[in-house]
Amino acid sequence: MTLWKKLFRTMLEKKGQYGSALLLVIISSMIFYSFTTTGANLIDNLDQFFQENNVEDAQLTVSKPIQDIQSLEDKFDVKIEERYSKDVSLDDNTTIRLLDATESINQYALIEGARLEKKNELLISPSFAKEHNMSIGDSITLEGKSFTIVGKMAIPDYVYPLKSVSGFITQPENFGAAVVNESAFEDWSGAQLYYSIMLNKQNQLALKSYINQSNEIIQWTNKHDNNRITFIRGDIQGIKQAGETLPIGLLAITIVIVMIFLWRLLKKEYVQIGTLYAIGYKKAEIICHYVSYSIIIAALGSTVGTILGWFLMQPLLDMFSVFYSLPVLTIKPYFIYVLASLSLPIIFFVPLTYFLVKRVLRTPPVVLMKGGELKTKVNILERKFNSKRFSFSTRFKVREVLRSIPRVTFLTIGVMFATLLILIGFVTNDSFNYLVNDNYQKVNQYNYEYLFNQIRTTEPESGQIAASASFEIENKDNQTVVITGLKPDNTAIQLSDLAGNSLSFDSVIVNKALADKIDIKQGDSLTIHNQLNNKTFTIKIDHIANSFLGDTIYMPLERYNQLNGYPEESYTKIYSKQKLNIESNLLLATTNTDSVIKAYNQLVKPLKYMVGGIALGASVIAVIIIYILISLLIDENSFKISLMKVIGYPDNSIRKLIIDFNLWFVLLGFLVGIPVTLSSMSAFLASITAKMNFSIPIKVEWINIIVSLVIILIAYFVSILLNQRKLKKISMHEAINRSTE
Amino acid sequence: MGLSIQKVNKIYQSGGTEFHALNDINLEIEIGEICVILGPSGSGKSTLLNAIGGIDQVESGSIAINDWNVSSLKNKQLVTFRREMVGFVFQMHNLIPNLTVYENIELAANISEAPLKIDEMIKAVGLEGMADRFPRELSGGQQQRVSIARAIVRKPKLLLCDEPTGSLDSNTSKEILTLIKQVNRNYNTTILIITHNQAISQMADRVIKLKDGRIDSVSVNDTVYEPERIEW
Ligand SMILES: Nc1ncnc2c1ncn2[C@@H]1O[C@H](COP(=O)(O)OP(=O)(O)OP(=O)(O)O)[C@@H](O)[C@H]1O
Ligand SMILES: [Mg+2]
Repeated sequence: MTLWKKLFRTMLEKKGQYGSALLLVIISSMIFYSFTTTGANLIDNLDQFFQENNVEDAQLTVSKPIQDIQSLEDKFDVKIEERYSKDVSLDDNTTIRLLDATESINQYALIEGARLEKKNELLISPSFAKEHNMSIGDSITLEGKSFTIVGKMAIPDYVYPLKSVSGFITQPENFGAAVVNESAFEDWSGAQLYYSIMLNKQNQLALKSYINQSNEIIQWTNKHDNNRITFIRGDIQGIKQAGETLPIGLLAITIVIVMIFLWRLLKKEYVQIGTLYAIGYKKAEIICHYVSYSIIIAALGSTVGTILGWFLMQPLLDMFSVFYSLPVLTIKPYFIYVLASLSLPIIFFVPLTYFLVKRVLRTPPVVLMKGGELKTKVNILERKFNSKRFSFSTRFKVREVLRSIPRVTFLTIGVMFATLLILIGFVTNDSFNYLVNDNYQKVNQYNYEYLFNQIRTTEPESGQIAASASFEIENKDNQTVVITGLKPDNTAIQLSDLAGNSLSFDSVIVNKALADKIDIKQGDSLTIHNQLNNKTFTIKIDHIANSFLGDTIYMPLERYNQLNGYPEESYTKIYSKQKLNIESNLLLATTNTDSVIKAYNQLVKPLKYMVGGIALGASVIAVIIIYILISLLIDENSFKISLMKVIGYPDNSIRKLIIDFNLWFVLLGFLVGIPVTLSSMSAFLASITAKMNFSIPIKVEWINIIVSLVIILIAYFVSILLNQRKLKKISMHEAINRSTE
Repeated sequence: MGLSIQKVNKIYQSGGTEFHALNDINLEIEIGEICVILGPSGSGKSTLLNAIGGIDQVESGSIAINDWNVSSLKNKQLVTFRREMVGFVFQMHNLIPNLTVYENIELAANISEAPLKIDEMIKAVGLEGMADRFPRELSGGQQQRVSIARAIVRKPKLLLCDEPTGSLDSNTSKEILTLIKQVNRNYNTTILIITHNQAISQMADRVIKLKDGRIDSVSVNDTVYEPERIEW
């Protein structure tokens, strides 16, 4: 009981230090619980949604409608459903895609409102409704026909509402999906028809060739190549992964801090411990007492952190579910994560502190009673270092460093971690900026891309022709790739190699995204399988291009047509600087690069706040870590500081000699932090984009490195400022009265 | 000139009660004197010495040394005062363990305008050849020699010693006192020595006895003995 009093008194005496450690545990538990649970809930909801509402396995477009769906289904044991879609312009920049309410595949889920009944009723996707201030009960006019919005919905094949299957940024202010009854399409011309399929893998090839016998498959997109379906999963996985790894790093740092506290406490209390022994306390009781310090910090921190995490999870979940147009079906607390969040700190802390205390207690009580071994030993490095070449203050500082190598190492690692946290935001921001604003714009020199729903041979009035389709690469996990055939004089797309030399289109070019993913080099050969007509051919890679969006191979159009058995001079795509007048029933998709970029910039606006928020959080963590370490340093050197005061050193000279050299290690931590961040971010992003059709090149702007440095420096100086009083408060009597360090 | 203390009071507050550690102290000490302060434990010896040395501040009265009016100095000026005027020697173990003998002395020399040569100091205190040793590699007496060297390397006008021989045997004590006497002789340093050892007062010019925070008696010795010749 008395021991407990002592415990709380010690903690209150050093409330700055113990409080900071507690705060770190709270932060890490909060992040851990909220992010992992949000991630798990989203993934579960996604899986449940996909399963209950029958997400398609693939979709295909054919040149003539399929007549005998029933017999195909029977013959190949698949499910096929017709899907109608029609893009209607609300204004110049806004398109709403009407889809019919399906019966078996890609069923819609109602998020809010009522299910469709009448022909003039419509369900809208929540992100689009939010962006355009549409609410249930409103009516909108689409191509002269009036619809009433009766509710908000989610559909499995549009959870990530992209205009094109190969797009990568949703743009709710420009594009949204809506569901209407199939009968609404009866009065319209120009609706597109494609087919959603649920199949079993073995039948895929047979099915394709069967269809190709009497028809022609123009497009076939497997589920895993459909960004509308796959993207969101990678995103969520990323959130979850970050939520799992970051807090563990934070906990590791905290445990080291707590161990340092305990180590110091034990040293100071050698005599007391010896006395406790002498009075008759058992070893176990003494160990228990000291381990209690870390148990209290771990238990209190994780409990508070988990509770806060629960409250943080709700807004996170709301935010993400609107962002992804995903119905939140159930929210589960995930007891496994509650348990992990509560026990992780304790699992981390208790064994380590137990061993620490046990090691100290190996010293016999008699030695302890005498104050243990005095901390006057000097290590080999300190002994070796004895050069009068340097000035006194340099020698003094070097001795300080040599004496506290573990602490400065830890300071360096702590700052490195804080740098990592600060830079994560900036690197994410800058990398996406590079990808879209720089790379995308540089590569795609056209403004409009028109993709036809049929192979065409008539020469277009204007624009540059190209052909592209989706293929599989054999022996590379059947990685799918878009191959684009271009005329040698094409200027709509401009590629350069990694060294910056521009490439011409009389060669076979693989972009960097794909080259990294399947690990190929210039000169390698690839065997390509045409998913539409089952033809197989081999191509040799001439160049690798510095382009990251889409897993793409470029080759001369003539050779493309020849290898695939398509008519000479045929094409499926037109690139153009100007908007072209092409009948919409000929087109499969239209892409406007400006709107892609605009959408992206819209998208990153909230990201900027997030980057700022992360940087702020990280700098708080940096302040805490540096504060604790400097505070410990002052504690440990209090005798020295006191003595120097007696001798006649003013406070700021003492600070210069004993504290200021830490700045070098802060800077070192920062410098080491940059490559560590870049390489871990690159691994992290590669793991997220492994299943997506693009890769993210890691970029960071100089200005943001400087901003990060400034943040770290501010954190350092704030910590110094917070410790200034502590330094001032050290009494000169300490040097006089204390007989041992 | 010299050290002049007038009506000095030092009051400690602890737990609501006041404690008069120094009570109306009046004292005059001349330059170049060796002065021994005696008195029972708790009588205020250290308190007085710390007030003179500018480590503690007093509630009322004045302490003046040469041109310095110590009792009216602010914090920053006190630092300068300590630096320019005072050297301290304490009982034991107040060397910095991770600095060598040389560097421990240098710590004090470093903030002085014109310090004495450190190597000569080391020789003078009889530690030739030990400059690169660390404190734990020295005996108690040798450590105390380093303390003295550190205290006087800046040629202080005032050397304040709080029980300098408190944890040394009698022979070693004599050696240390001899060293202190040498300092007094060579640099004309005014020296105050606190001790519990009545015998040490034989080497003093002036002997002050404190009791319950008051001056009990002040006496001037007619015969001053060399430390070697003190009878313990
Ligand atoms: N910081 C303090 N707070 C309260 N009382 C104090 C404080 N420092 C000293 N005292 C009291 O002042 C009195 C004088 O203390 P001082 O240290 O000067 O004694 P001393 O004569 O040096 O004793 P000793 O011979 O044991 O060293 C003592 O009674 C002591 O309890
Ligand atoms: Mg005393």
